[in-house]
Formats: sequence, structure tokens, C-alpha cells
Amino acid sequence: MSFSFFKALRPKTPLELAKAIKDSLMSLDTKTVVEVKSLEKALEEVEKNFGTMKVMLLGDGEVEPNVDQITQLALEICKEDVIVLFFHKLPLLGWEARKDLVQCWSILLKQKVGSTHCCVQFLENHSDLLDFLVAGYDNKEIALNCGNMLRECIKFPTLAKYILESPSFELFFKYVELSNFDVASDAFSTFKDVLTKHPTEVSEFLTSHYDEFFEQYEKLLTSSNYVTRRQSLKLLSEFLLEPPSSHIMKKYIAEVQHFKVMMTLLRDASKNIQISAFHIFKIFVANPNKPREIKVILAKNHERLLELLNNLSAGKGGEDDQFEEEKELIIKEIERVSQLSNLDS
Amino acid sequence: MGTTKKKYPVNAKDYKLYEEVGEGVSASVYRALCVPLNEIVAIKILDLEKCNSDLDGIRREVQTMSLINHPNLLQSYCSFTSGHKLWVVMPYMSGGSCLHIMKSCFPDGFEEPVIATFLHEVLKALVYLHEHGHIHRDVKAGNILVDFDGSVKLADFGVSACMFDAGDRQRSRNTFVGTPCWMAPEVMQQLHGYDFKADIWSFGITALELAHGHAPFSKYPPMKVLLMTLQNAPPGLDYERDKKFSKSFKDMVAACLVKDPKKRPSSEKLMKHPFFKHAKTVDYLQRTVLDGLSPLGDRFRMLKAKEADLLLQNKELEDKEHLSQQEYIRGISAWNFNLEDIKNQAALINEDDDFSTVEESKTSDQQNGINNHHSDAKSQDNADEIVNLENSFASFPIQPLQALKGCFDICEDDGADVSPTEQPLVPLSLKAGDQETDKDEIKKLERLKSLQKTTITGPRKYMSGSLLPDNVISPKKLVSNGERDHHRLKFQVDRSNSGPLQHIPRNNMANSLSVENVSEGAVVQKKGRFRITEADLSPKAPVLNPTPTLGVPAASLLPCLQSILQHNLVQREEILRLIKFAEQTSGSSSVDHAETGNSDFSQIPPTPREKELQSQVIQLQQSVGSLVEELQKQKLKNVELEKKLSDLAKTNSIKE
Repeated sequence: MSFSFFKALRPKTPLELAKAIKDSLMSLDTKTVVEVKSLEKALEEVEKNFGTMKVMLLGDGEVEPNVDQITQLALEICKEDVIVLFFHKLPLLGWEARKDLVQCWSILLKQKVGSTHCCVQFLENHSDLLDFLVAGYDNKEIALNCGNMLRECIKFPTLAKYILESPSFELFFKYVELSNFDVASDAFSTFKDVLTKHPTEVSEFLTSHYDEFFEQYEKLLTSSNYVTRRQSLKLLSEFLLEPPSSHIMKKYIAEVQHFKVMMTLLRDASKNIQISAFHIFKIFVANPNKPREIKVILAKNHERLLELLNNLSAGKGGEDDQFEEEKELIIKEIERVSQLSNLDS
Repeated sequence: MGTTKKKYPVNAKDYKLYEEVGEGVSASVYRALCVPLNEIVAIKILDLEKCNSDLDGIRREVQTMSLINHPNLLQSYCSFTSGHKLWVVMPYMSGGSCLHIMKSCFPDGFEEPVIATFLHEVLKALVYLHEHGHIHRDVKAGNILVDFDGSVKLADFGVSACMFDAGDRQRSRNTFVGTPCWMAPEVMQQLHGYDFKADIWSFGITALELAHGHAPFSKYPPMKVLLMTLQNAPPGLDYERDKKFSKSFKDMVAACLVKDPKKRPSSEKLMKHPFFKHAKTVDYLQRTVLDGLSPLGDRFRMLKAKEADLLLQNKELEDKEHLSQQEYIRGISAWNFNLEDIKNQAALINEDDDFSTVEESKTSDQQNGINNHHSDAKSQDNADEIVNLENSFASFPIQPLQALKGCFDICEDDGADVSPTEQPLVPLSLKAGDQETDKDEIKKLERLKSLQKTTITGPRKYMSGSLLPDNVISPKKLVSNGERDHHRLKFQVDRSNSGPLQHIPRNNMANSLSVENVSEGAVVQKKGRFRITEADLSPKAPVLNPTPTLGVPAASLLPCLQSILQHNLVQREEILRLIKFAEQTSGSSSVDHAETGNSDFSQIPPTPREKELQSQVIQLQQSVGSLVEELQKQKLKNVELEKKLSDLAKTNSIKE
């Protein structure tokens, strides 16, 4: 009696906790899952352990978490391969357990032992787990949990680079157009993080995958889905204008195909899209080394373009002046190009 | 727990929209039928095209709504887009919001047991949210929904607010979110960011709202609400009409409405408050509140019609009031205030009457002579600003224009601070400190304003400074959008200027009473000086003299008296100059008579206007004379007082 009382009071050490978490997750095997009662019991056990983990990592509002314990727990979790279980058992877990896991995950991932992030290193060696998280978007139940965990991973350049170059990256082009807005917008937000958080890695990726990437990306820009068009257009200007990607940008604005897409978007029914399109269109026009083909298109369409531009206004206070200034420059340039005589052929 | 839910279709054509039951600025809520499930739902339809900022905020809120799971929180079933509209499908709450119910049937608020029951349910929701790391940030009666059976859900995680910014700490410090009446002081101040305790404040305000039928300050425009929340004592249940409420209710409200967030209880702790022992089960709400309510759609229509009527009336009566209402609505829905803007708007409320722009330009013209010595300092400041401007460009490569906006503040602030020469009352060290903090805040600049504009700040400053606390209470008009920029410019000035005056009592060793007296004196004096050129010259100089009460440490009066003396000297010089000028013009008019025969006015030697001016000048002279006398007297008094004091000190030390 007194012994069990004592046992209940003594908090688990990180080592014991990692072990307990592992055991409880392992018990969610096929046999348990088919049996309603035993599944319930097993899930309860997992939830209890996750609760303990949460207190150890985040404190309970009164007691601050102990740094040494956190590091030790992160280490144990890597050592015991618990991370694999975290991911693979996620679809089986209950609502609250998943949310607890997501909260703990961001803390665990940040833990450093010496100069290495042990959990990040673990993922680098088990990169298929990242693909597993990406595929999580297919399952509406866990999509948002996976998305949150994925975005935590993407904060680390090595992991972001892996995702960029993994075949599952292509899935994002599909996920961002899912009909569930919450899932699709979450996927987009991850997609955006991958393409903007680490400009150098992104630049490398775009250099080596230029054609495939922009072919796919054009599908987003010309999607029938308003949100996809609007968000992908805005995102394009964000990653294309990063300094490390300037060579990509130069290549991009010299290609007629992209120019045509931008012209189409400039005539979109949505004003927000028109304005975002203008901010990319202007680079094509302002390019001092415009290819002849682009000049020809500008000359041929200059009347309609000028009319369109004259009707375009930023609308919202502060950006007005700059927008008008740029617009004027672009209009002048279009007028100049349209008067070039050597374009007729 | 991961209860498997019904699959709600994510396609607009699977829903049949019925009547509108709620309305935001960019969103409307409809009662609707989910055809495949044959179930009544509520659908919030949001026009994404009206959201200029990126859609990230909306994503976060929709996510929060689908990641919560609590009987007292309104969860979304699903969401999807249809064209540029976002549809959020939610449970239909047939009772509508507490606000709607109060507006249509309980205009003076609910009975205490009803309030306790509502609040208890809401608090359960808050406990859950806080436990899961969410801050609701918009707790108010309008977001408390009631179903047919009396069950209560806290709703609205800002889906209707495009700029709702959750999560990103750094940005959320600079924007604030919520509705002014319900907003906690620390959210307004944006000094240290804010946490769960902000919801507790709003909870307290909501309690008052349910008790009275409206939130405290709700009849004021948002910016005034901001100032009142920051400056006044927290509202509470202490009016005559609140006598009917129990002590535990009053105590609970008082616990929530403590300005220091650290001293507010957490939601969990609040749950243990004895007041909630009075809470009943929700079927009590069904019997007392919902019974006999007409259908939500009808009520909504009626309220809408009523509001439209009111608006129409107001428009006819008072366009300004109408504007302020619009502004108010805007404030509620846009939810992303630039705090400075609002403060400035609030400051404007005091100003307009005292000072017309025409007057300003006149006075500033006249002032040019006097203010010449400022221009050096100012041009230096301008140079600084240009440097700032460049820096800001470097640090804001993407949105230089937005960055520029802030600079505006700087140049105004600096401009205002340039005039300390006019303001000898303020200790120099304090000035410098102020300027520093201003600079800290400032990063960028929009355009440099003409010197003239900044020089006007002199008189405005003094008036606004000392009058500020009083004027806040008087309800006044708002600015129209078109004039906004112009106004902002002016108000920036007010803000920074009222600063030093407010600091004086705290920072100066002097007794606040005497200092205030003096500063008011200065105000009047300024006015007098500025109006010398005006026809209605009526120096209120006599008021100028501080009449220190006995017991004020005499030494502290000295600097003030000196400054008054200084002012007097300046004034005197000014008058002398004017006299000379008057003499010259009258003299030259007779001499030049023959030569400039065609100039009409010179033919009637002293015009009535000139006479008037002369007499005024004489008056002024007299008053200056009397002032100097008075000053002398005061000085004598001072010396006496000092003597007495030192005597007292001596006797004291002897006694000891």
C-alpha cells in the first residue's frame, strides 16, 4: 500500500517516460485496434503518457520545465526510435493526444545535444518520415496535425532541402487545391514555407529543377480555383525576388510563356489578382534586355494594355503613390516599345 | 476525443441557403440546409476579395475552429471556397447571440442568475481554449451563441476579420485585435504583448454588458473608448442601478477588470469564484430567455431595419455622428488598428473647436519672425530625418511605402520637440529623454512637412496638453476618411506634445499643483501672444499668475516664476515692436499721403481697426505692467516663504 503510494508520487524520469511512451504506442497493434475495448484502454495509456511528456516539456503553468530533463527526453526518444512510432501511430491516436503530440514535437525538435539537434539528425537519417508527414495531407483527420509538425521540420534547412527534392514535393501541387479549405490552405502554408524559408536551398533547387517546377507552377497560376491563383501569384513574387534566386528571376522574365500567363492574370476578374499580377508583369516590362518576342507582344497589345493599366489602381491608401509611380513608368515603357520600328517583321 | 463526425460535403451546391441571420463587414451568416445530411446548419460566407492582406490569417482562424473540440465552443464542420467566397459550415444556433437577444427582448440586461449561467458556460470554453494555448481575443455578448435548448457556445475566432493575426507574436504586438469596448488595456498599449489574461478582461466587460444591456463606453467612438479604458478607473458594477446585484457578482467583475493583467485570475482560478455557484443548468436559459423569442431570422431582420432607421435619422440630423458610427463599425470589423492613428483621432476630438486652420495659417505667418530661431534646429532635424529615411529604405526593401508611413511620425514628433525654446517650463533633460524615446519608436518617414505646419504646433501643444484629460469625455466628431491624413499629421503633434506636460508632475521635483498652474498660465499667455494680431485681442494675462497656496515649497516655485518673467519679457518686446509698427504706419500714412494718393485706406488716417489695435496694445501694456508688479510681489512672497521655511527647518533641527 505505502509502496504503491510512493510510486505514484515519484515522477517518471525521462528515460522511463520515453520507454513508457514507446510501450504504449507499440501496444496500438492490429490486434488491439480491432478490439474496441482494448483500443480504448491502449489509447488512454498513450494519452496519459503524452500528458506527462507535455508537462515535462512545457511545464504545467506553475513549475518551469527542467532543461536537462527536456534534453534527456529528446535523446531517449531518438535512441528508442519513438519518433517513428509518433508518426506511424498518429492516425490511430485520439483528438487530444494528437494535439499534445504536435505541441511536444516543436519542443523536441529544437533540442540540441552539443552542436547537433538530435531529433533533426534522426529525421535526416530517416527522411522517409518526412514523406510520411507530407502524405498526411491525404487524410483529413490528421492533415492539420501533420501540417503543423511538417512546418516545424521545415524550419531546419536540411529538412526543407530534403522535402524540396523529394518526389513527395510534387504532391503539394495537388494538396493546395483540395476542396477542404482548411486542409488546402494549410498545405499551401507549408508549401510557402518550403519555398521561402531558406532562399539559398530554394535557389539551388530551382536551378536544378527549373523546367519541371515552373511547368507545375503554371498550373497553379492558371487554376480555376480563385484562392490557388491568388495565393500562388503572391508566393511567386516572394520567392522569385529573393536575392539568391536572381538568376532564376532573370531567366523567368525572359520567357514568353510566363509573360503570357502574367498578361492573362492582369485581366483576371479579381482586382487583388490583377494587382499582384502587375507586380510581376512590371518586371517583364522593366527588363532592359527584353527578348524581341516580348517586345512584339507588348507592341501588338499596347492599346489594350494601356487601357487596362490606366484602370488599375491599388486602392488602399499607403501603397497608392508607389503603385502609381511604377504604373507610370511601365506605361511609358510600353509606349516606347510600341513605337519601335524594328519590331515589324 | 476523436469522435468520428458526419461527413459534411465541401461543395456549395449541397447546401441550400435560407435567410440571413448575422452580418459582419466582409461576411454574412445564413441559416442553411445541408441537403445530403438533411440538417440545418449555419454558413458563414466570407468575401475573400474584400480581404486585401494575404489569406494566412483566415487560414489560422479556420484551422483553430476545426482544431477545437469543446461543447462550449463553436466548431466548424468544414470549410471550402466557391469562387472568391469562403464558406464556413457551422452548427446552427437558433437562439442567436446574447447581444441579439438583449437588443430585441432585454434592452437593460439580464437577471443575475441568467448572467451567471451564461458566463459559467463561456468560462468553461475559455478554460479549454487557454489550456490548449489559444487566446480568443474577442469575448463579448455578440459572440456568445445560444441554441434552442439553451446550450451556449462561444463563437467567432475572427473568421470575419481578414487581418486577424494569430500566432505570429512579433506582428501581433503591433496590431491589435478585438473590439475596443471589450479590449484589455494591455492589448491597447501593446507594450509587452499580451496573453490569456486579455480574455479575462473581456470576460469582465462582457459580464457588465450582460448586466446592463450594453458594454461600458459603448456609446463612444472606438478611439475614445481606447483612451477611457487606458486612463479611467476600470468600469464596474457600482452605479445606483447595480444595487440589485449580489456582492459576489460585483466581486467577480472587479477581479476580472484589474488593469494589471498579472493581478487578474486565470480562467481556471476564476472558475472557482463563488459567483459561479449561482450558475444553473442551461435549460434554465431555455425557460427564462429563449421562451417566446421569435425566430432568429425575423429578429435579425427587425434589428437590421431598426439600425437602418437609426442610421438614416442620424444622417439627417448630424452627418458627423453618422460618420462616427460608420467609423465605429469599421473599427469593429477591421480589427487592425494602428494604435497611433486612433490615439491621434481621439486627440483630434479636443482640438477642432479651439483652432481653425485659417487661424493657424495666420498665426504662423505672424510667427515666422518669432520662430526664426527654430528653423536652424529644424533643418538639422530634417537632415536627421533624411538619414532615417534612407535607413528605413534599407530595412524595408519590400514595402518602402509602408515603411515611409512611420516616418511621418518622426518628423512630426521632432518638429514638435524642436520648439522647446518656447517652452522653458519643461526641464531640458526631460525633453532630451522624450526625443530619444520618440526616435526609438521611429524608423521611417513619409514626407517632410513644411516648416510652417510644424511651427503651428506651439499653441496647439499647450492647449491640448493641459486640456486632454477633461476633453476626452466630451463626445465629439470623427474625421472623415478623406481628411484622415491631414488630421493624422496634426494629431501626431498633439500626442507627442501632451507627453511632456503629463510628465511634469511625475518627473519634476516641483509640486504638481504649482507646475500645473504655471503651465496653464503659459497656455493663456501663448494664446494671448498669438492673438495679438487678431481683432478679438483679449489677453487673459491676469490668469497667468500662479497663485501658489501656502505650504507649497517655495523653492520649487522659483523656476516657474523665472520662466514667467521670461515670458513677460518676450511679450513686452513684442508689444513694443507692435507699438512701433503702429506708430510707423500712422506716421508714414500721413507723410506718404501725397505720393500714394491712390491707396484708399491711408486717406482715412487712423482706421477704426488701427484704433482698436492701439487700444488693445495699451491694454496689453497695462496688463504686462500689472503682471510685472504681480511677479515682483510673488517674488517677495517667495523670499518670505523661503525665509519661513528655513526658519522652520532650523527650529525643527533645534527641536530634534
